[in-house]
Amino acid sequence: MAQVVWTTIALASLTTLILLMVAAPLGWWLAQRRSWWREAVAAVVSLPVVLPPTVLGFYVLIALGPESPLMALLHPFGVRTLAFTFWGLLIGSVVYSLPFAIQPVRSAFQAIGPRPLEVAATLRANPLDAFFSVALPLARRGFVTAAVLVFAHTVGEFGVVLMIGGGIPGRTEVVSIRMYQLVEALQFGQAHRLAAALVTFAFLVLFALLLIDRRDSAPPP
Amino acid sequence: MTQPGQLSFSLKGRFGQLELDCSGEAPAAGVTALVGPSGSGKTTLLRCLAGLARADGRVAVGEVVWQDERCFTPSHRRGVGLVFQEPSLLPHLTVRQNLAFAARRAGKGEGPGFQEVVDMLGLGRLLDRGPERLSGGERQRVAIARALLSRPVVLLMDEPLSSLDAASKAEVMPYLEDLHRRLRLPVLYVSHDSAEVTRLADRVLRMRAGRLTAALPRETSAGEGRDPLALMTPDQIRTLARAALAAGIEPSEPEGV
Repeated sequence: MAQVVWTTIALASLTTLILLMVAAPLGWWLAQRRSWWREAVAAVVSLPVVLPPTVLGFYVLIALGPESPLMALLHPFGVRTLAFTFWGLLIGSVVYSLPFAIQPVRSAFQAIGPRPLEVAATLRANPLDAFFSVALPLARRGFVTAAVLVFAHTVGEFGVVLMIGGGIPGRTEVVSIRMYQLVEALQFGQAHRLAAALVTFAFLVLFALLLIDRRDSAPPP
Repeated sequence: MTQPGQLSFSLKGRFGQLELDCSGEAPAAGVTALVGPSGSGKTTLLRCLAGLARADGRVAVGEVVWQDERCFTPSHRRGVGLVFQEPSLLPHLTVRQNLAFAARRAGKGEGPGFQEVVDMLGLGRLLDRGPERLSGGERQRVAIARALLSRPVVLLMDEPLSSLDAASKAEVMPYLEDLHRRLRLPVLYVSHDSAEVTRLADRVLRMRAGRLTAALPRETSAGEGRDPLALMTPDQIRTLARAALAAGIEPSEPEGV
């Protein structure tokens, strides 16, 4: 069981880390003045919200299989396929949770408005400087929300991890899959304990999110 | 022909309803007020000078060209101090950090130091506060101090007092008058308020519907102008004359002659 929990936490942490780094530039770009092709990209990024996880899992599985052009790039390095591996699982999770990172970050950047960045420009901050010294700190709540959502969403996913990872014990088995297998095997005692642990975890995550939100929006003393 | 440090501009462009078409200059020292009805393009002109909006034409400070047919220097490389109409402190930074933001990135030119600016604008007690704990007047003083600390070569002020109540205005005004005496750079000061203009400006530029209609020394405008035609362009006078003729008004001898 410890192995399963560890795989789950490692997967969720790495997914969160990667998506925060992806969301910063992509969310920023999407927050700029609207145009139809920006919205097209936004729609593609949001697809995982609408698609059944199994559809998404299917495509990612194909892309990670030995026949895919993507994997052909890795053949020289001795990698034939990433399907049913932890790294494949990670790629699937990143794709699946992408919209949960982009949306809050994009909204947070949009909420800043043009003024603080104009101020930064007249104070001789170049665009990159202004991004790091003004835009990122002002959008920090969006990043906190994104991190919590992505982490929790990754812990909770089932369809994608089953399709891509196959629930191989010790390698790609995560908590949500173990839960399913326990119930299948009619081991209700263990299933109860795991379920209770996950409910507690979910509550703590949401509680922390609300506390952070309250602290940041608290009126000055 | 251009004096060192003088701001000169000649800009043309369309911004929504506004047709901006104006040229003028602000001398290397002293305050040039920019007055005119709202919607006449004062803020837009300032934004173009700062590089935040883009019109066709030329902008130069002394020999340094910021914009012409071939080049457009982005805002962050112009060295232009801009005080916005509404307070615009960076909300995630304290007063001290807002000032340091400017000072750290300041140009190499001459200019007052951190402590000097803090004293000049009376900010000593406010340094460790966040912007949300300042009054409107205090915020504008910090914004002015911040603009100065970036060592601009041109200072643009867009109605810096208009969002303030009378008491805050009276509080900030002496600081502005003090600056006026000390600064050696072109200052363009947009205002609605003739009392402000009288107290601060050396010259007045009048703007109407995107055009500069006259540049005159302050005395004439403050005295309301003996001859209203002196404030008009030849085009406007011709338009007025045509309207008078169309209305059947005959030129008559002035009364009392």
